[in-house]
Amino acid sequence: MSNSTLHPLSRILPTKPYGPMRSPARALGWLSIGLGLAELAMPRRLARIAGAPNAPRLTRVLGLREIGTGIGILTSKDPSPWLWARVAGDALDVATVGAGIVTRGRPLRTLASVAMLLGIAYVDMKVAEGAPPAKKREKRSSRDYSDRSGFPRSAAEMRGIALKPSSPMGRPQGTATAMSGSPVQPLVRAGEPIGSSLP
Amino acid sequence: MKALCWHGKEDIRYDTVPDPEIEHPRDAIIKMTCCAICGSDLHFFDGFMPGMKSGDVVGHEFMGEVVEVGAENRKLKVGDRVVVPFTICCGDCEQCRRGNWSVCERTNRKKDLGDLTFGHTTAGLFGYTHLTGGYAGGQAEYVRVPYADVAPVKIPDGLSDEQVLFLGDIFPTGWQAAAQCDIQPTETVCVWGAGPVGQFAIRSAVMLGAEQVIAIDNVPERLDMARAGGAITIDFDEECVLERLQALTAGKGPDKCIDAVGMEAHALRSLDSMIDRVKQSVMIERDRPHVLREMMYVCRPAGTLSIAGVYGGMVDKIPFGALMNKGLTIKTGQTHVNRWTDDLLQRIADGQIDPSFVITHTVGLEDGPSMYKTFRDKEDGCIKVVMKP
Repeated sequence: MSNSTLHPLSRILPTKPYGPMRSPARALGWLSIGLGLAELAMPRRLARIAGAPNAPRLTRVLGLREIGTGIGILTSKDPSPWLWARVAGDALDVATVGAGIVTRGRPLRTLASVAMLLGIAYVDMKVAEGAPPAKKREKRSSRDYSDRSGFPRSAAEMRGIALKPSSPMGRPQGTATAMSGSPVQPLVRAGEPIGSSLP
Repeated sequence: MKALCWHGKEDIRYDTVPDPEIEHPRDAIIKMTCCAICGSDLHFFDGFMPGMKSGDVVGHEFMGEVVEVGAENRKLKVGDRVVVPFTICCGDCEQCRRGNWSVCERTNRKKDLGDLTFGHTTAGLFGYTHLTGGYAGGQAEYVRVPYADVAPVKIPDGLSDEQVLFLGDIFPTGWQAAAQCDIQPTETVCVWGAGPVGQFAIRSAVMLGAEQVIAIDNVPERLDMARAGGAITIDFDEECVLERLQALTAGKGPDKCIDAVGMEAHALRSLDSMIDRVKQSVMIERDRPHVLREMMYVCRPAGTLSIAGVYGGMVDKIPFGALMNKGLTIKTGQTHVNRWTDDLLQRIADGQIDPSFVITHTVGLEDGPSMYKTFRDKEDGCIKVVMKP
Protein backbone atom coordinates (compact mmCIF):
# COMPACT_ATOMS: atom_id res chain seq x y z
CA MET A 1 0.00 0.00 0.00
CA SER A 2 1.24 3.45 -0.80
CA ASN A 3 2.36 5.26 2.25
CA SER A 4 1.87 8.55 0.54
CA THR A 5 -1.64 8.35 1.91
CA LEU A 6 -1.38 5.62 4.47
CA HIS A 7 -4.27 5.80 6.88
CA PRO A 8 -3.24 5.95 10.53
CA LEU A 9 -5.43 2.93 11.16
CA SER A 10 -3.29 0.83 8.89
CA ARG A 11 -0.66 0.91 11.58
CA ILE A 12 -2.83 -1.01 13.97
CA LEU A 13 -3.94 -3.55 11.42
CA PRO A 14 -1.92 -6.72 11.20
CA THR A 15 -0.92 -6.05 7.66
CA LYS A 16 2.29 -6.55 5.81
CA PRO A 17 4.10 -3.25 5.97
CA TYR A 18 4.25 -1.30 2.78
CA GLY A 19 6.33 1.57 4.06
CA PRO A 20 7.29 4.83 2.46
CA MET A 21 10.50 3.25 1.17
CA ARG A 22 8.48 1.02 -1.15
CA SER A 23 10.59 2.13 -4.08
CA PRO A 24 13.95 3.93 -4.26
CA ALA A 25 12.36 6.97 -5.91
CA ARG A 26 9.78 7.32 -3.15
CA ALA A 27 12.48 6.88 -0.53
CA LEU A 28 14.41 9.74 -2.10
CA GLY A 29 11.23 11.80 -2.16
CA TRP A 30 10.78 11.39 1.56
CA LEU A 31 14.50 11.97 2.16
CA SER A 32 14.17 15.27 0.28
CA ILE A 33 11.25 16.37 2.39
CA GLY A 34 12.93 15.34 5.64
CA LEU A 35 16.17 17.09 4.77
CA GLY A 36 14.30 20.16 3.56
CA LEU A 37 12.36 20.42 6.79
CA ALA A 38 15.58 20.09 8.78
CA GLU A 39 17.19 22.85 6.72
CA LEU A 40 14.20 25.09 7.31
CA ALA A 41 13.98 24.40 11.03
CA MET A 42 17.62 24.44 12.09
CA PRO A 43 19.83 25.92 9.38
CA ARG A 44 22.67 26.99 11.69
CA ARG A 45 22.96 23.67 13.44
CA LEU A 46 22.87 21.78 10.17
CA ALA A 47 25.52 24.02 8.66
CA ARG A 48 27.73 23.46 11.69
CA ILE A 49 27.35 19.68 11.55
CA ALA A 50 28.06 19.59 7.83
CA GLY A 51 30.92 22.02 8.00
CA ALA A 52 29.12 24.32 5.58
CA PRO A 53 29.16 28.14 5.62
CA ASN A 54 26.93 29.68 8.26
CA ALA A 55 24.33 31.18 5.90
CA PRO A 56 20.90 30.43 7.34
CA ARG A 57 18.95 32.18 4.59
CA LEU A 58 20.73 30.25 1.88
CA THR A 59 20.25 27.00 3.82
CA ARG A 60 16.52 27.71 4.14
CA VAL A 61 16.25 28.36 0.40
CA LEU A 62 17.98 25.06 -0.23
CA GLY A 63 15.52 23.47 2.19
CA LEU A 64 12.56 24.80 0.23
CA ARG A 65 14.11 23.39 -2.91
CA GLU A 66 14.50 20.01 -1.25
CA ILE A 67 10.85 19.97 -0.15
CA GLY A 68 9.70 20.98 -3.63
CA THR A 69 11.61 18.19 -5.35
CA GLY A 70 10.47 15.71 -2.71
CA ILE A 71 6.82 16.56 -3.29
CA GLY A 72 7.42 16.42 -7.02
CA ILE A 73 8.87 12.92 -6.76
CA LEU A 74 6.01 11.69 -4.58
CA THR A 75 3.18 13.22 -6.56
CA SER A 76 4.11 12.85 -10.20
CA LYS A 77 3.43 9.75 -12.25
CA ASP A 78 6.80 10.23 -13.89
CA PRO A 79 9.32 11.12 -11.17
CA SER A 80 12.31 11.17 -13.56
CA PRO A 81 12.48 14.96 -14.06
CA TRP A 82 12.24 15.49 -10.33
CA LEU A 83 14.96 12.92 -9.68
CA TRP A 84 17.23 14.71 -12.13
CA ALA A 85 16.33 17.94 -10.34
CA ARG A 86 17.67 16.28 -7.21
CA VAL A 87 20.92 15.49 -9.00
CA ALA A 88 21.23 19.13 -10.03
CA GLY A 89 20.46 20.13 -6.46
CA ASP A 90 23.17 17.79 -5.23
CA ALA A 91 25.69 19.68 -7.35
CA LEU A 92 24.52 22.90 -5.76
CA ASP A 93 24.81 21.36 -2.31
CA VAL A 94 28.34 20.13 -2.98
CA ALA A 95 29.35 23.61 -4.08
CA THR A 96 27.70 25.24 -1.06
CA VAL A 97 29.11 22.84 1.50
CA GLY A 98 32.48 22.84 -0.23
CA ALA A 99 32.71 26.57 0.39
CA GLY A 100 32.88 25.66 4.05
CA ILE A 101 36.48 24.56 3.57
CA VAL A 102 37.35 28.23 3.35
CA THR A 103 34.84 29.70 5.80
CA ARG A 104 34.58 27.05 8.50
CA GLY A 105 38.18 26.07 8.86
CA ARG A 106 37.32 22.42 9.51
CA PRO A 107 38.31 20.85 6.23
CA LEU A 108 38.02 17.26 7.40
CA ARG A 109 34.41 17.62 8.47
CA THR A 110 33.59 19.54 5.32
CA LEU A 111 35.32 16.99 3.13
CA ALA A 112 33.41 14.21 4.84
CA SER A 113 30.15 16.03 4.12
CA VAL A 114 31.12 16.59 0.50
CA ALA A 115 31.96 12.90 0.15
CA MET A 116 28.58 11.99 1.58
CA LEU A 117 26.85 14.39 -0.78
CA LEU A 118 28.68 12.90 -3.73
CA GLY A 119 27.52 9.48 -2.62
CA ILE A 120 23.93 10.68 -2.43
CA ALA A 121 24.32 12.30 -5.85
CA TYR A 122 25.50 8.97 -7.24
CA VAL A 123 22.45 7.21 -5.78
CA ASP A 124 20.15 9.95 -7.11
CA MET A 125 21.66 9.58 -10.56
CA LYS A 126 21.29 5.80 -10.57
CA VAL A 127 17.68 5.99 -9.40
CA ALA A 128 16.93 8.69 -11.98
CA GLU A 129 18.44 6.54 -14.72
CA GLY A 130 16.40 3.55 -13.62
CA ALA A 131 13.05 5.29 -13.25
CA PRO A 132 10.74 4.24 -16.07
CA PRO A 133 9.07 7.14 -17.82
CA ALA A 134 5.31 7.30 -17.34
CA LYS A 135 3.33 6.04 -20.29
CA LYS A 136 1.09 8.69 -21.70
CA ARG A 137 -2.38 7.64 -22.67
CA GLU A 138 -3.34 8.23 -26.23
CA LYS A 139 -6.06 10.82 -26.23
CA ARG A 140 -8.32 8.57 -28.28
CA SER A 141 -8.23 4.86 -28.94
CA SER A 142 -9.57 3.26 -32.09
CA ARG A 143 -12.71 2.09 -30.31
CA ASP A 144 -16.02 3.69 -31.08
CA TYR A 145 -18.79 3.61 -28.51
CA SER A 146 -21.07 6.12 -30.14
CA ASP A 147 -23.72 3.44 -30.69
CA ARG A 148 -23.63 2.10 -27.12
CA SER A 149 -26.74 3.60 -25.65
CA GLY A 150 -28.06 0.53 -23.86
CA PHE A 151 -31.54 1.63 -24.84
CA PRO A 152 -33.81 -0.14 -27.35
CA ARG A 153 -34.82 3.21 -28.80
CA SER A 154 -33.27 6.66 -29.01
CA ALA A 155 -32.41 8.35 -25.73
CA ALA A 156 -35.00 11.03 -26.50
CA GLU A 157 -37.70 8.37 -26.76
CA MET A 158 -36.54 6.77 -23.54
CA ARG A 159 -36.73 10.03 -21.59
CA GLY A 160 -39.01 9.53 -18.63
CA ILE A 161 -39.75 5.88 -19.49
CA ALA A 162 -39.51 4.94 -15.84
CA LEU A 163 -42.35 7.31 -15.01
CA LYS A 164 -44.76 6.46 -17.83
CA PRO A 165 -47.28 3.84 -16.80
CA SER A 166 -49.04 4.08 -20.17
CA SER A 167 -45.93 3.31 -22.17
CA PRO A 168 -45.72 -0.26 -23.44
CA MET A 169 -42.37 -0.44 -21.69
CA GLY A 170 -43.42 1.66 -18.76
CA ARG A 171 -43.92 0.43 -15.26
CA PRO A 172 -46.47 1.40 -12.66
CA GLN A 173 -45.77 4.91 -11.49
CA GLY A 174 -43.84 5.14 -8.29
CA THR A 175 -41.75 2.04 -8.70
CA ALA A 176 -38.85 4.01 -10.08
CA THR A 177 -37.94 5.54 -6.81
CA ALA A 178 -39.73 3.31 -4.38
CA MET A 179 -37.72 1.13 -2.10
CA SER A 180 -38.65 -2.06 -3.82
CA GLY A 181 -37.24 -5.05 -2.12
CA SER A 182 -37.09 -3.21 1.15
CA PRO A 183 -39.49 -4.88 3.46
CA VAL A 184 -40.72 -2.23 5.85
CA GLN A 185 -41.09 -4.13 9.05
CA PRO A 186 -41.52 -3.16 12.64
CA LEU A 187 -38.26 -1.90 13.98
CA VAL A 188 -36.25 -3.89 16.39
CA ARG A 189 -36.71 -3.33 20.05
CA ALA A 190 -34.64 -0.67 21.73
CA GLY A 191 -31.52 -2.11 23.21
CA GLU A 192 -31.28 -4.95 20.75
CA PRO A 193 -27.60 -5.81 20.40
CA ILE A 194 -25.95 -4.95 17.13
CA GLY A 195 -22.80 -6.18 15.53
CA SER A 196 -23.26 -9.61 17.05
CA SER A 197 -23.84 -13.15 15.83
CA LEU A 198 -21.62 -12.82 12.83
CA PRO A 199 -21.53 -15.84 10.64
CA MET B 1 -9.14 -22.47 -6.40
CA LYS B 2 -7.78 -19.52 -8.34
CA ALA B 3 -8.50 -15.96 -7.31
CA LEU B 4 -7.25 -12.42 -7.73
CA CYS B 5 -5.47 -11.29 -4.59
CA TRP B 6 -4.17 -7.94 -3.41
CA HIS B 7 -0.52 -7.83 -2.41
CA GLY B 8 0.13 -4.11 -2.33
CA LYS B 9 -0.12 -1.00 -4.41
CA GLU B 10 -0.51 -1.92 -8.10
CA ASP B 11 0.12 -5.54 -7.16
CA ILE B 12 -2.82 -7.83 -7.92
CA ARG B 13 -1.94 -11.49 -8.47
CA TYR B 14 -3.72 -14.54 -9.84
CA ASP B 15 -3.14 -16.80 -6.87
CA THR B 16 -4.11 -20.25 -5.71
CA VAL B 17 -6.04 -19.97 -2.45
CA PRO B 18 -8.06 -22.40 -0.31
CA ASP B 19 -11.60 -23.11 -1.46
CA PRO B 20 -14.26 -21.37 0.62
CA GLU B 21 -16.44 -23.41 2.93
CA ILE B 22 -19.82 -22.99 4.57
CA GLU B 23 -19.11 -21.33 7.91
CA HIS B 24 -22.65 -20.55 9.02
CA PRO B 25 -25.99 -22.22 8.27
CA ARG B 26 -27.21 -19.15 6.36
CA ASP B 27 -24.19 -19.16 4.00
CA ALA B 28 -24.02 -20.28 0.41
CA ILE B 29 -21.10 -21.04 -1.85
CA ILE B 30 -21.32 -19.56 -5.32
CA LYS B 31 -19.41 -20.80 -8.33
CA MET B 32 -18.56 -17.55 -10.05
CA THR B 33 -19.56 -17.36 -13.71
CA CYS B 34 -18.95 -13.69 -14.32
CA CYS B 35 -17.32 -10.85 -12.38
CA ALA B 36 -16.07 -7.35 -13.02
CA ILE B 37 -13.48 -4.82 -11.95
CA CYS B 38 -15.18 -1.87 -10.32
CA GLY B 39 -13.90 1.69 -10.11
CA SER B 40 -13.88 1.23 -6.34
CA ASP B 41 -11.37 -1.58 -6.78
CA LEU B 42 -8.94 0.98 -8.12
CA HIS B 43 -8.83 2.67 -4.73
CA PHE B 44 -6.96 -0.27 -3.21
CA PHE B 45 -5.08 -0.91 -6.47
CA ASP B 46 -3.78 2.67 -6.27
CA GLY B 47 -3.04 2.35 -2.57
CA PHE B 48 -5.66 4.79 -1.37
CA MET B 49 -7.73 2.35 0.68
CA PRO B 50 -6.57 1.69 4.23
CA GLY B 51 -7.02 -1.62 5.97
CA MET B 52 -6.03 -4.00 3.17
CA LYS B 53 -3.98 -7.10 3.95
CA SER B 54 -1.62 -8.91 1.65
CA GLY B 55 -3.36 -11.92 0.17
CA ASP B 56 -6.90 -10.53 0.37
CA VAL B 57 -9.19 -11.97 -2.31
CA VAL B 58 -10.65 -8.91 -4.02
CA GLY B 59 -13.70 -7.99 -6.07
CA HIS B 60 -17.30 -7.22 -5.22
CA GLU B 61 -19.11 -7.36 -8.56
CA PHE B 62 -19.89 -10.97 -9.27
CA MET B 63 -22.56 -13.52 -9.99
CA GLY B 64 -22.72 -17.24 -10.39
CA GLU B 65 -24.37 -20.52 -9.64
CA VAL B 66 -25.16 -21.76 -6.16
CA VAL B 67 -23.20 -24.96 -5.51
CA GLU B 68 -23.66 -25.37 -1.76
CA VAL B 69 -26.17 -24.03 0.73
CA GLY B 70 -26.13 -23.85 4.52
CA ALA B 71 -28.70 -25.81 6.50
CA GLU B 72 -30.73 -22.74 7.52
CA ASN B 73 -30.81 -21.07 4.15
CA ARG B 74 -34.39 -21.28 2.89
CA LYS B 75 -33.97 -18.84 0.02
CA LEU B 76 -31.43 -20.51 -2.22
CA LYS B 77 -30.96 -23.98 -3.55
CA VAL B 78 -28.15 -25.63 -5.45
CA GLY B 79 -28.32 -24.67 -9.10
CA ASP B 80 -29.86 -21.24 -8.59
CA ARG B 81 -28.32 -18.50 -10.67
CA VAL B 82 -27.75 -15.38 -8.58
CA VAL B 83 -26.28 -11.91 -8.69
CA VAL B 84 -24.69 -11.06 -5.36
CA PRO B 85 -24.91 -7.41 -4.20
CA PHE B 86 -21.64 -5.97 -2.98
CA THR B 87 -23.18 -5.14 0.38
CA ILE B 88 -23.64 -7.99 2.85
CA CYS B 89 -26.94 -7.62 4.70
CA CYS B 90 -28.39 -9.49 7.66
CA GLY B 91 -32.00 -8.58 6.87
CA ASP B 92 -32.86 -8.45 10.56
CA CYS B 93 -31.30 -5.31 12.02
CA GLU B 94 -33.08 -1.99 12.23
CA GLN B 95 -31.27 -0.53 9.22
CA CYS B 96 -31.98 -3.54 7.03
CA ARG B 97 -35.65 -3.40 7.99
CA ARG B 98 -35.71 0.26 6.99
CA GLY B 99 -34.20 -0.61 3.63
CA ASN B 100 -30.88 1.01 4.50
CA TRP B 101 -29.07 -2.08 3.37
CA SER B 102 -25.60 -0.59 2.96
CA VAL B 103 -25.46 0.39 6.61
CA CYS B 104 -26.47 -2.98 8.00
CA GLU B 105 -25.49 -3.01 11.65
CA ARG B 106 -24.44 -6.61 11.89
CA THR B 107 -22.45 -7.76 8.92
CA ASN B 108 -19.20 -5.89 9.43
CA ARG B 109 -17.27 -8.48 11.40
CA LYS B 110 -14.59 -5.84 12.07
CA LYS B 111 -17.19 -3.57 13.63
CA ASP B 112 -14.68 -1.92 15.95
CA LEU B 113 -12.64 -0.71 13.02
CA GLY B 114 -15.76 0.59 11.29
CA ASP B 115 -16.83 2.40 14.43
CA LEU B 116 -13.38 3.89 14.89
CA THR B 117 -13.12 5.09 11.31
CA PHE B 118 -16.61 6.32 10.54
CA GLY B 119 -18.18 6.79 13.94
CA HIS B 120 -20.50 3.85 13.34
CA THR B 121 -20.02 0.65 11.46
CA THR B 122 -21.44 0.16 7.97
CA ALA B 123 -22.31 -3.06 6.19
CA GLY B 124 -19.75 -5.71 5.43
CA LEU B 125 -18.52 -5.58 1.84
CA PHE B 126 -17.05 -8.27 -0.36
CA GLY B 127 -13.43 -8.12 -1.40
CA TYR B 128 -12.63 -4.76 0.07
CA THR B 129 -10.91 -3.23 3.06
CA HIS B 130 -10.93 -4.82 6.51
CA LEU B 131 -12.68 -1.68 7.69
CA THR B 132 -15.73 -3.23 6.05
CA GLY B 133 -15.24 -6.74 7.30
CA GLY B 134 -12.43 -8.09 5.18
CA TYR B 135 -14.65 -10.66 3.46
CA ALA B 136 -13.10 -12.62 0.60
CA GLY B 137 -14.23 -11.19 -2.71
CA GLY B 138 -15.80 -12.32 -5.93
CA GLN B 139 -12.90 -12.21 -8.35
CA ALA B 140 -12.45 -15.87 -7.60
CA GLU B 141 -13.68 -19.20 -8.88
CA TYR B 142 -15.78 -19.75 -5.75
CA VAL B 143 -17.14 -17.32 -3.21
CA ARG B 144 -18.60 -17.79 0.23
CA VAL B 145 -21.67 -15.57 0.58
CA PRO B 146 -22.58 -14.85 4.22
CA TYR B 147 -26.26 -14.19 4.98
CA ALA B 148 -26.98 -15.64 1.57
CA ASP B 149 -30.68 -15.87 2.38
CA VAL B 150 -30.99 -12.07 2.23
CA ALA B 151 -29.24 -10.13 -0.51
CA PRO B 152 -28.54 -12.43 -3.49
CA VAL B 153 -30.89 -11.81 -6.40
CA LYS B 154 -32.18 -14.85 -8.25
CA ILE B 155 -31.96 -14.46 -11.99
CA PRO B 156 -34.62 -15.91 -14.25
CA ASP B 157 -33.76 -17.83 -17.38
CA GLY B 158 -33.45 -15.89 -20.58
CA LEU B 159 -31.18 -13.14 -19.34
CA SER B 160 -27.45 -13.35 -19.98
CA ASP B 161 -24.81 -12.85 -17.31
CA GLU B 162 -23.71 -9.66 -19.03
CA GLN B 163 -27.23 -8.23 -18.86
CA VAL B 164 -27.65 -8.76 -15.14
CA LEU B 165 -24.16 -8.74 -13.61
CA PHE B 166 -24.25 -5.03 -12.88
CA LEU B 167 -27.34 -5.35 -10.71
CA GLY B 168 -24.89 -6.15 -7.94
CA ASP B 169 -23.38 -2.68 -7.88
CA ILE B 170 -22.96 -0.13 -10.63
CA PHE B 171 -26.46 -0.12 -12.11
CA PRO B 172 -28.20 0.38 -8.75
CA THR B 173 -25.44 2.84 -7.82
CA GLY B 174 -26.10 4.98 -10.88
CA TRP B 175 -29.84 4.56 -10.40
CA GLN B 176 -29.76 5.53 -6.74
CA ALA B 177 -27.60 8.55 -7.58
CA ALA B 178 -30.31 9.74 -9.96
CA ALA B 179 -33.33 8.57 -7.96
CA GLN B 180 -32.26 10.38 -4.80
CA CYS B 181 -32.10 13.61 -6.84
CA ASP B 182 -35.90 13.53 -7.11
CA ILE B 183 -35.62 14.67 -10.73
CA GLN B 184 -38.39 16.90 -12.06
CA PRO B 185 -39.28 17.04 -15.77
CA THR B 186 -37.88 20.55 -16.29
CA GLU B 187 -34.59 19.93 -14.61
CA THR B 188 -30.99 19.67 -15.72
CA VAL B 189 -28.91 16.91 -14.20
CA CYS B 190 -25.13 17.14 -14.43
CA VAL B 191 -23.01 14.04 -13.94
CA TRP B 192 -19.31 14.39 -13.10
CA GLY B 193 -17.43 11.35 -14.42
CA ALA B 194 -18.45 9.21 -17.37
CA GLY B 195 -17.00 5.98 -16.07
CA PRO B 196 -19.28 2.97 -15.58
CA VAL B 197 -21.26 4.45 -12.68
CA GLY B 198 -21.52 7.76 -14.48
CA GLN B 199 -22.85 5.99 -17.58
CA PHE B 200 -25.59 4.35 -15.54
CA ALA B 201 -26.35 7.60 -13.75
CA ILE B 202 -26.79 9.30 -17.11
CA ARG B 203 -29.19 6.65 -18.37
CA SER B 204 -31.03 6.58 -15.06
CA ALA B 205 -31.50 10.35 -15.17
CA VAL B 206 -32.83 10.06 -18.71
CA MET B 207 -35.24 7.27 -17.74
CA LEU B 208 -36.34 9.27 -14.70
CA GLY B 209 -37.30 12.15 -16.93
CA ALA B 210 -34.58 14.80 -16.71
CA GLU B 211 -35.04 17.43 -19.37
CA GLN B 212 -31.32 17.74 -19.93
CA VAL B 213 -28.43 15.54 -18.83
CA ILE B 214 -24.86 16.83 -18.95
CA ALA B 215 -21.78 14.63 -18.53
CA ILE B 216 -18.29 15.88 -17.65
CA ASP B 217 -15.14 13.87 -18.36
CA ASN B 218 -11.98 14.09 -20.45
CA VAL B 219 -11.83 10.62 -22.03
CA PRO B 220 -13.14 10.68 -25.60
CA GLU B 221 -14.54 7.14 -25.59
CA ARG B 222 -16.41 7.76 -22.36
CA LEU B 223 -17.81 10.98 -23.69
CA ASP B 224 -18.93 9.13 -26.84
CA MET B 225 -20.74 6.57 -24.72
CA ALA B 226 -22.28 9.33 -22.61
CA ARG B 227 -23.62 11.04 -25.72
CA ALA B 228 -25.01 7.73 -26.93
CA GLY B 229 -26.92 7.55 -23.65
CA GLY B 230 -28.49 10.94 -24.16
CA ALA B 231 -26.08 13.32 -22.46
CA ILE B 232 -24.60 16.59 -23.62
CA THR B 233 -20.90 16.31 -22.91
CA ILE B 234 -18.19 18.61 -21.59
CA ASP B 235 -14.54 17.67 -22.05
CA PHE B 236 -12.85 19.42 -19.16
CA ASP B 237 -9.50 19.27 -20.95
CA GLU B 238 -10.88 21.26 -23.84
CA GLU B 239 -13.59 23.47 -22.35
CA CYS B 240 -14.22 25.57 -19.27
CA VAL B 241 -16.72 23.57 -17.21
CA LEU B 242 -18.19 26.59 -15.47
CA GLU B 243 -18.74 28.53 -18.68
CA ARG B 244 -20.34 25.58 -20.48
CA LEU B 245 -22.65 24.83 -17.57
CA GLN B 246 -23.71 28.46 -17.39
CA ALA B 247 -24.40 28.46 -21.11
CA LEU B 248 -26.34 25.19 -21.04
CA THR B 249 -28.52 26.27 -18.12
CA ALA B 250 -29.15 29.90 -19.03
CA GLY B 251 -26.88 30.96 -16.19
CA LYS B 252 -28.88 29.13 -13.53
CA GLY B 253 -26.64 26.13 -12.99
CA PRO B 254 -27.69 22.48 -12.99
CA ASP B 255 -30.57 21.65 -10.67
CA LYS B 256 -29.13 18.30 -9.69
CA CYS B 257 -25.43 17.37 -9.56
CA ILE B 258 -24.15 13.81 -9.40
CA ASP B 259 -20.60 12.96 -8.35
CA ALA B 260 -19.62 9.72 -10.06
CA VAL B 261 -15.90 10.34 -9.52
CA GLY B 262 -15.06 10.19 -5.83
CA MET B 263 -11.75 10.46 -4.06
CA GLU B 264 -9.40 10.27 -7.05
CA ALA B 265 -10.44 13.23 -9.16
CA HIS B 266 -8.06 13.62 -12.08
CA ALA B 267 -8.78 17.21 -13.04
CA LEU B 268 -5.18 18.06 -12.37
CA ARG B 269 -5.05 21.31 -14.25
CA SER B 270 -7.06 23.18 -11.66
CA LEU B 271 -5.17 24.82 -8.84
CA ASP B 272 -7.21 23.17 -6.10
CA SER B 273 -6.51 19.73 -7.60
CA MET B 274 -2.79 20.37 -7.68
CA ILE B 275 -2.85 21.46 -4.05
CA ASP B 276 -4.90 18.37 -3.16
CA ARG B 277 -2.36 16.13 -4.82
CA VAL B 278 0.52 17.73 -2.94
CA LYS B 279 -1.33 17.48 0.37
CA GLN B 280 -2.33 13.91 -0.35
CA SER B 281 1.27 13.02 -1.09
CA VAL B 282 2.44 14.17 2.32
CA MET B 283 -0.54 12.62 4.12
CA ILE B 284 -2.29 15.79 5.25
CA GLU B 285 -5.39 15.13 3.14
CA ARG B 286 -6.84 11.76 2.18
CA ASP B 287 -9.14 12.45 -0.75
CA ARG B 288 -9.09 14.82 -3.71
CA PRO B 289 -12.48 16.55 -3.59
CA HIS B 290 -12.29 18.74 -6.70
CA VAL B 291 -15.67 17.48 -7.92
CA LEU B 292 -17.36 18.25 -4.60
CA ARG B 293 -16.08 21.81 -4.68
CA GLU B 294 -17.13 22.32 -8.26
CA MET B 295 -20.59 20.85 -7.67
CA MET B 296 -21.20 23.09 -4.68
CA TYR B 297 -20.14 26.11 -6.65
CA VAL B 298 -22.11 25.51 -9.85
CA CYS B 299 -25.28 23.91 -8.50
CA ARG B 300 -28.42 25.96 -8.77
CA PRO B 301 -29.63 27.29 -5.39
CA ALA B 302 -31.95 24.84 -3.63
CA GLY B 303 -30.49 22.09 -5.75
CA THR B 304 -29.30 18.64 -4.79
CA LEU B 305 -25.84 17.09 -4.75
CA SER B 306 -25.93 13.34 -5.08
CA ILE B 307 -22.60 11.73 -4.25
CA ALA B 308 -22.15 8.21 -5.57
CA GLY B 309 -18.36 8.39 -5.88
CA VAL B 310 -16.49 6.81 -3.01
CA TYR B 311 -14.65 8.92 -0.46
CA GLY B 312 -12.47 7.44 2.26
CA GLY B 313 -11.59 10.12 4.77
CA MET B 314 -10.78 13.78 5.20
CA VAL B 315 -11.23 16.47 2.57
CA ASP B 316 -10.08 20.08 2.76
CA LYS B 317 -11.27 23.48 1.55
CA ILE B 318 -14.91 22.63 1.04
CA PRO B 319 -16.95 25.73 0.15
CA PHE B 320 -19.47 25.16 2.88
CA GLY B 321 -20.61 28.76 2.65
CA ALA B 322 -21.87 28.13 -0.87
CA LEU B 323 -23.52 24.92 0.26
CA MET B 324 -25.28 26.57 3.18
CA ASN B 325 -26.25 29.86 1.62
CA LYS B 326 -27.59 28.24 -1.55
CA GLY B 327 -29.57 25.78 0.51
CA LEU B 328 -28.16 22.73 -1.22
CA THR B 329 -29.11 19.23 -0.20
CA ILE B 330 -26.50 16.47 -0.08
CA LYS B 331 -27.49 12.87 -0.54
CA THR B 332 -24.87 10.20 -0.50
CA GLY B 333 -23.92 6.75 0.69
CA GLN B 334 -22.94 3.34 -0.50
CA THR B 335 -25.81 1.99 -2.53
CA HIS B 336 -28.68 0.24 -0.80
CA VAL B 337 -28.53 -2.29 -3.61
CA ASN B 338 -31.54 -4.36 -2.63
CA ARG B 339 -33.79 -1.30 -2.65
CA TRP B 340 -33.53 -1.25 -6.40
CA THR B 341 -32.75 -4.73 -7.65
CA ASP B 342 -36.32 -6.03 -8.06
CA ASP B 343 -37.33 -2.97 -10.04
CA LEU B 344 -34.20 -2.83 -12.16
CA LEU B 345 -34.23 -6.55 -12.91
CA GLN B 346 -37.76 -6.13 -14.19
CA ARG B 347 -36.72 -3.18 -16.34
CA ILE B 348 -33.95 -5.28 -17.86
CA ALA B 349 -36.39 -8.12 -18.47
CA ASP B 350 -38.84 -5.62 -20.00
CA GLY B 351 -36.14 -4.49 -22.40
CA GLN B 352 -36.02 -0.91 -21.18
CA ILE B 353 -32.26 -1.11 -20.83
CA ASP B 354 -29.49 -3.58 -21.58
CA PRO B 355 -26.69 -2.88 -19.08
CA SER B 356 -24.16 -4.85 -21.14
CA PHE B 357 -23.64 -1.72 -23.25
CA VAL B 358 -20.93 -0.64 -20.81
CA ILE B 359 -18.72 -3.73 -21.24
CA THR B 360 -15.69 -2.95 -23.34
CA HIS B 361 -13.34 -5.79 -22.39
CA THR B 362 -14.07 -9.43 -21.56
CA VAL B 363 -11.14 -11.55 -20.41
CA GLY B 364 -10.33 -14.65 -18.39
CA LEU B 365 -9.80 -14.27 -14.65
CA GLU B 366 -6.12 -15.06 -15.16
CA ASP B 367 -5.78 -11.83 -17.16
CA GLY B 368 -7.27 -9.80 -14.32
CA PRO B 369 -4.00 -8.43 -12.91
CA SER B 370 -3.05 -6.75 -16.16
CA MET B 371 -6.60 -5.54 -16.75
CA TYR B 372 -6.54 -3.59 -13.48
CA LYS B 373 -3.86 -1.42 -15.02
CA THR B 374 -5.60 -1.20 -18.38
CA PHE B 375 -8.80 -0.11 -16.64
CA ARG B 376 -7.03 2.32 -14.32
CA ASP B 377 -5.09 3.95 -17.14
CA LYS B 378 -8.11 3.91 -19.49
CA GLU B 379 -5.96 2.24 -22.12
CA ASP B 380 -7.43 0.72 -25.25
CA GLY B 381 -10.71 2.53 -24.69
CA CYS B 382 -11.31 0.52 -21.55
CA ILE B 383 -14.48 1.45 -19.66
CA LYS B 384 -15.64 -1.80 -18.07
CA VAL B 385 -13.81 -5.10 -17.67
CA VAL B 386 -15.71 -8.34 -17.24
CA MET B 387 -13.86 -11.49 -16.27
CA LYS B 388 -14.82 -15.13 -16.52
CA PRO B 389 -13.22 -18.10 -14.80
